[in-house]
Amino acid sequence: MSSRRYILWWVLPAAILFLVIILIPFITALTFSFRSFSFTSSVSTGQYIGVDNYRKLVFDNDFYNSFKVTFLYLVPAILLQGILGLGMALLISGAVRRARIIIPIMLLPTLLTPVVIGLIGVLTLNPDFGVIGQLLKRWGLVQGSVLGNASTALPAIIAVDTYQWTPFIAVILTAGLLALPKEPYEAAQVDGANPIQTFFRVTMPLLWPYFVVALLIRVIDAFRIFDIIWVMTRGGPGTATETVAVYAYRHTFRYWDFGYGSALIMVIFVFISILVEYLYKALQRWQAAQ
Amino acid sequence: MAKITLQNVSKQYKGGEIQALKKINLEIEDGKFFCLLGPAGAGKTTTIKLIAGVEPVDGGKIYMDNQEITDLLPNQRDVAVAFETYALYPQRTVRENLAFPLRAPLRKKEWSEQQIQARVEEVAKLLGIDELLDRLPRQLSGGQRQRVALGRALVRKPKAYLFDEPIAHLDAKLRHRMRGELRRIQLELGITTVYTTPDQLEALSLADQMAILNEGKIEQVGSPTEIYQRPANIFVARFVGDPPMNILRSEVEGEEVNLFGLTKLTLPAQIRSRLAAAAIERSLMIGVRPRDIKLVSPSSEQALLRGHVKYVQVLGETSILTIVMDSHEVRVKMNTQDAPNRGEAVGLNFAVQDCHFFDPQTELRID
Repeated sequence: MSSRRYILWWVLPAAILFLVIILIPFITALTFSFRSFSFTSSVSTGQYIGVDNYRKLVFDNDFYNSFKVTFLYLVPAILLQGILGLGMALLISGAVRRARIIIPIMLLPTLLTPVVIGLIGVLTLNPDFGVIGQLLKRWGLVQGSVLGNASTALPAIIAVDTYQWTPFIAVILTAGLLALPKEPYEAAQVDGANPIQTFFRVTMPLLWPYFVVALLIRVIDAFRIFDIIWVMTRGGPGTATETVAVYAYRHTFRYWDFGYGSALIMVIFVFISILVEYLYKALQRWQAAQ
Repeated sequence: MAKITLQNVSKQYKGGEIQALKKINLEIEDGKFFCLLGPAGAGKTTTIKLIAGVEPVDGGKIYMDNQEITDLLPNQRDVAVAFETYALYPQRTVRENLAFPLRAPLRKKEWSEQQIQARVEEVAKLLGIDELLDRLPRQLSGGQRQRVALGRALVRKPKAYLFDEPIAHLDAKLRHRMRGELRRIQLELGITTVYTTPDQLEALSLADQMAILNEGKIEQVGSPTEIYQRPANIFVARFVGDPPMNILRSEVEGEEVNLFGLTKLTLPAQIRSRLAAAAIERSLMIGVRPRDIKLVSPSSEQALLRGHVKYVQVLGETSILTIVMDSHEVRVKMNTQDAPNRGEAVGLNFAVQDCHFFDPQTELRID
């Protein structure tokens, strides 16, 4: 009995933390999502309204649009970051073996807060005094401001996001490369495999689990992308860069509709859970099929 | 088929911190089964890797059929390696793993697809893994993976096979069978084979020629019989043979030696003259194999030493006895049915011609 109580004391701090930081806010948001909690609505605040928030959401085209924008950002961003990260990892892993200091230096963009990264993006892309913005304007690639143009705002955000997160993927993959066993490479040498065969038969399969980890982290992260976008475009122009997180934020903290905002967040939460689960399984299957 | 020669070959790791091989010289004759025997860390795997060319040498030269191959790429050397750590391609089935050496770009035209399939199945059957051809390496047990690794070497008929402890992870029964199979395959094909093992019995039973490696140096090269019967030094004497040879320190007294102050033995004339030549006057190490010692009654005149039985280790038909006298221990191997009980007093007898003599300073054999 006493040993049980002893265990309880050890678990308690973590349990309290989990309760306060995760469980209570989650349950609060869940209950909010079934209530009218809008400072601008005629229905009195806090009143139970059943699934009205969810019903509204089903017919909310802007919400669907925000999913579309999220994927338009997420898919190219992650592909780009995966490819660049792999290239970077292959290039530097040899050097890292000798000089570990490369890793923290490389991670600098990832370590910066996204707000700062977003500001760097805004400043460099400014058509009047930004380094890149001026060039794009001079070469006639962009009319006026990059961020003010609906067709270039999202690519700009993808570029800034890639700047921040490619090193992160590169570091995970570098760690993977450095941890790979030597012998399969030696076997490939003796067997007479060429570099391309060695890459696809030895490196990629062995590196794949690291790729999956990096990818899943980035997918979850991508749904939460907010700061960079808020700083750079506030979801605009129009709704061109309004991702799900930005949309939910707008409803919750701009329109002060906590009820509807909570409902949005619940749907996003369920969606991410399913997506990640599915992706994880799919990636594993893909690996098994190879 | 090829003769492999290593000339003053050195290899260091960690920037010279570890001397894996110290100027070793080896001549591996064409078509022979050559065993590299040594304890863990002796440099066996390093030797294999240098011959295969997957790691560069730090000094010395390697020849194959008198042609220098020191700087050739692994695939230009035409060797097949079975790695101790298997080194299978993780995402390929057993069949594809076995077929890969035949499909590699270098040998693209040599084998047709049917020939490849036939050869893969032949080798798989030989190794008892034909049921596993469509599985992935991670679905196999350690022993099965090791057989695939061995198979990936055996599918080809290269100039030389390099096997790095290829059956170490198999269970005892299978290991016995594979040992026989490997010897049979090698005799049939007549391909030069370098085979490493930490197991002296394996080396003795397989090798035409063998070398004993220790801490990056070669202690002795010879046929199994030569090495067993005339070990070049105390290390080899104790490493080869199980249980290890008893090494007894004795004091030289004229024409005799005094063993532990308990008994005196007359030295053979030939040993005496060598002792004089080597200026060894005081101590001498005498080696006696456990099975060369006979137990006699402690009261018998034949008893050179007397002691009592401390342990009896029964190994089926034979038993290993540990006999203590004063502070010394001697091990004796004998038939279980004749073995005395623990605690019994016994006398030991052995013939001088069965003794090996070693210089206590250099630890080298004297004869």
